[in-house]
Amino acid sequence: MSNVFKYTLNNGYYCDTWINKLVDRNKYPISGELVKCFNEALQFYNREEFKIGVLSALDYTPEPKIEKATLLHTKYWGLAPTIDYRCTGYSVLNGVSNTKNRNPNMRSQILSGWFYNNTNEGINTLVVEGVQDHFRYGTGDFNNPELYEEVMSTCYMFTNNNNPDVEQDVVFYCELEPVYQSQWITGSGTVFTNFDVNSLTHTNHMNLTALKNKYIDKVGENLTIKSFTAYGNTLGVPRKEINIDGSGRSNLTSPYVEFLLQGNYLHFIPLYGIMFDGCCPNYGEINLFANNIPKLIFTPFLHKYGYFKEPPVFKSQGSVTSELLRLDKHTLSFTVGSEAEYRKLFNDLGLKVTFIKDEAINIPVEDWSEVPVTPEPPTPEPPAIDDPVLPDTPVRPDTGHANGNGGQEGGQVDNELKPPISPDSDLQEEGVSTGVKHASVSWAMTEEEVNDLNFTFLSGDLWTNIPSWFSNPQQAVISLIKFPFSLPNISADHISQSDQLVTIANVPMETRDKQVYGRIMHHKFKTRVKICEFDIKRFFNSYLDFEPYTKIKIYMPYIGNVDLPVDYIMDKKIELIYDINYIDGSVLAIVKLTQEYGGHIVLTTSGAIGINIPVAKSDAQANTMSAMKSIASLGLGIATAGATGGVGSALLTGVQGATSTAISNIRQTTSTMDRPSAEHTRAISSSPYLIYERPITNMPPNYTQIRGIATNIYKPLKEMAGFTVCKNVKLDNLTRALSSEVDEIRNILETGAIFGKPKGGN
Amino acid sequence: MVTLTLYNNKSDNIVIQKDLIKIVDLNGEIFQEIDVISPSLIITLADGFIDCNYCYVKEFKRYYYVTNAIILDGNRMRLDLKVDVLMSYAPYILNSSQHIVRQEVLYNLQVKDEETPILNGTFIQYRNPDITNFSFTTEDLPSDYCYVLNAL
Repeated sequence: MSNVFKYTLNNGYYCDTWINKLVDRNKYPISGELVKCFNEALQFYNREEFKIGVLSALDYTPEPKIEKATLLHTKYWGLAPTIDYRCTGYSVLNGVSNTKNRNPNMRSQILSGWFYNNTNEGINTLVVEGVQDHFRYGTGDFNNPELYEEVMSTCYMFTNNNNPDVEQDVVFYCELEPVYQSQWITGSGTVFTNFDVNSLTHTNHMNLTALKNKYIDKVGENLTIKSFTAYGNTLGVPRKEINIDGSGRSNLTSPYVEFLLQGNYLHFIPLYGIMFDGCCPNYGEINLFANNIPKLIFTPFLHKYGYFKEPPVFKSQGSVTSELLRLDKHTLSFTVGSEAEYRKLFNDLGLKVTFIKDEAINIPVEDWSEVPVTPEPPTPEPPAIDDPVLPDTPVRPDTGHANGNGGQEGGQVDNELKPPISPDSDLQEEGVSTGVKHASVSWAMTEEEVNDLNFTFLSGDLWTNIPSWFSNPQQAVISLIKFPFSLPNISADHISQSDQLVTIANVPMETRDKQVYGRIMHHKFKTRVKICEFDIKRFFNSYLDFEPYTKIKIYMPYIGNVDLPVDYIMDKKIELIYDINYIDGSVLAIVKLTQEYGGHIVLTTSGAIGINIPVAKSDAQANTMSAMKSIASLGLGIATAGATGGVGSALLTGVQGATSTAISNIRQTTSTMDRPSAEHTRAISSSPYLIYERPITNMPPNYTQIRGIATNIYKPLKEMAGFTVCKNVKLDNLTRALSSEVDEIRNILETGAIFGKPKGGN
Repeated sequence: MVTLTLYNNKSDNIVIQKDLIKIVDLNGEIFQEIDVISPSLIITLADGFIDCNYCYVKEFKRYYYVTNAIILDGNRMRLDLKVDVLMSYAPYILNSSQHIVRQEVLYNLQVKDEETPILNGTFIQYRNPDITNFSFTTEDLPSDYCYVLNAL
């Protein structure tokens, strides 16, 4: 098994250690695969369950949902400044530091943080403490500042989903405030926020007092999350001995960090060891080295232990990355368990440890030791562009690949064009200028009122009132449309609350016997009618979930089937929105990502949702007959299509026989549409749905053992187990072999060889 | 004269590190001009030789498959050998880093795998919305203000 895990030891002690051993991103590149990772982790640790309840939330949550973060207080603990945060709804872990391309000779690097449940605050509030930053740079005597190349240390706020219904298992990372470094050895927790890597100067000296002063005004206030940042892991170079020194700080470690930004992802260099550090003299320190990393304990405090269990086959680590689960945003942790488990782990390592169950010592900020500060001229906060956050789009090496990300997936395109986002307001309803808005009046009418209108049209009383430029009342009618919904249900705000006498061309629609009433509609359009929402989930959890293997259509009522761009919407949620035009009965369907996925429009298409009822005629007699015939035929058409025929019955008074001519006229009208007419689509389905078209795989038993599954990695072959196929095999310096032997080796490796102990037996 | 160790090999030829059971150490005789890739050696019959299908020749620093065993007389037999390059150079191979495109364990399901057996045809699934916000109806078309009259 090649899994490596990062997990949190959260056994009730206030200062549990989390251990980072990340999942090999090549094997678990997507969030969905984490389920598999966890399952294998269960086997690895002989556990029946992990607390992975929030995994699904992680899977589909692109951003941590931090409601707010509140600074509780700052304090001085040992030489390391610490800051407490409270995060409502989510717990917070304030951790530290991150370096990149750091000189391997540089000694220490801290990555720590701890948290504990503040039960007094209720289960929803998890107070987390962490060392803001306490790694030093330089050698032990600190005589020669190292050349920093993109050295960066940041103050992290790690947030856990602390839903009381779901045990915390997933740790999110976000950057509360970037700081550069803390030379806690010489500067007692000095923090810089404006560090010049070229001159090694800083202008925003933040020692403890300054730090306190910086934050004290914010105690109790909500803090703004500045950005999400990468999680910095540290790898240690193993040394030759294991040495536990309980009294001094660690000093012979040689950890270093190597990770590579490619595209938008963070790639970790294979692990050789893991860092540890002890930095708090108040609590003593532990100093560990190991012959055979990765069996190693690391801890920033004596009572904070982690266990880095050696995987049976591989000694590497990677990261879990995906579009939605990126290492620079999220990572995983899960609880290992109790003190007994800890003890077992340590016993395995042959280490004697003492568990300390004291509560964390919260030193009020008022009790801080005052550290003299050399007055410095006030320096304005550096512009955001100077902040040393990891870039979203890092500079990529010129690898010759078209996408510039070295052939790795996930590259982000410079100058990326953002897809349009559907408007969130109803501005369209007011803003659409058709020339009709002010020239016409729209009336919402009931079926009975339409009957009254018909009666009025047929009455001779109106003729004398119609302006001379109209030969008949119908000429003043732009359209009469029936919609498959009650207008007040969908446009309540756009329709007057009471009936009014309908006027056409300023002529009241009334006769001696009849008055026609309706409700004035204030808008001609209704936008943003959200019809439904779909959660697009994977089925295979592989490339088969994408095009061209998987196709997804959406059926939209009154429109039909439309292909969806699978690659774009997979693992996201989409919503179907209708923009309805009350003048011509048309509908514009918008399929867009939900707001949590950016709200970008996926596609738009149009159709006819309203039934257009013809009312035109050429002369009084012909007009009447034509209208009646047309309406009658429409009624038949609707009845044929399975609809109710309400329209026909509305205006069918006195007309029992619809002529075939009238029917054909209406068909001609509808046939000019490029989609099924409204009355036809009405007969199909009024509910949207998705149609998944997926391939049928036929994997024989033991397929992976006899043929393997595609991958794309570059690794030492000794890390492989089982069937392996290589490509473009390079066999340099194999001096003892004859050329024919080299060729044979190359041929076998390129056609498939078995490493390690094959599972299938031989 | 060369020094041989005869084995019984249980592993497939494409296994890098073979699962071997040692049978016997003995000497072999080079009886003619030989090719180090596929030599033939004469050995004295020994117990268990019939189970021998693999050997190591110390002087050649190579592992060999026994491709044929010919009994010459009641005391001697000839072994036809073929070099096993994987086992012979296993340390070098294992320490080399290569571009791996298929793997039994470290696979990546997101890498398109053209070899995945896929049957003809597809299977179709229909899925209703997870959340329905607005429903149209086909059965009882509303009569309450479902008409819009647009007029001058």
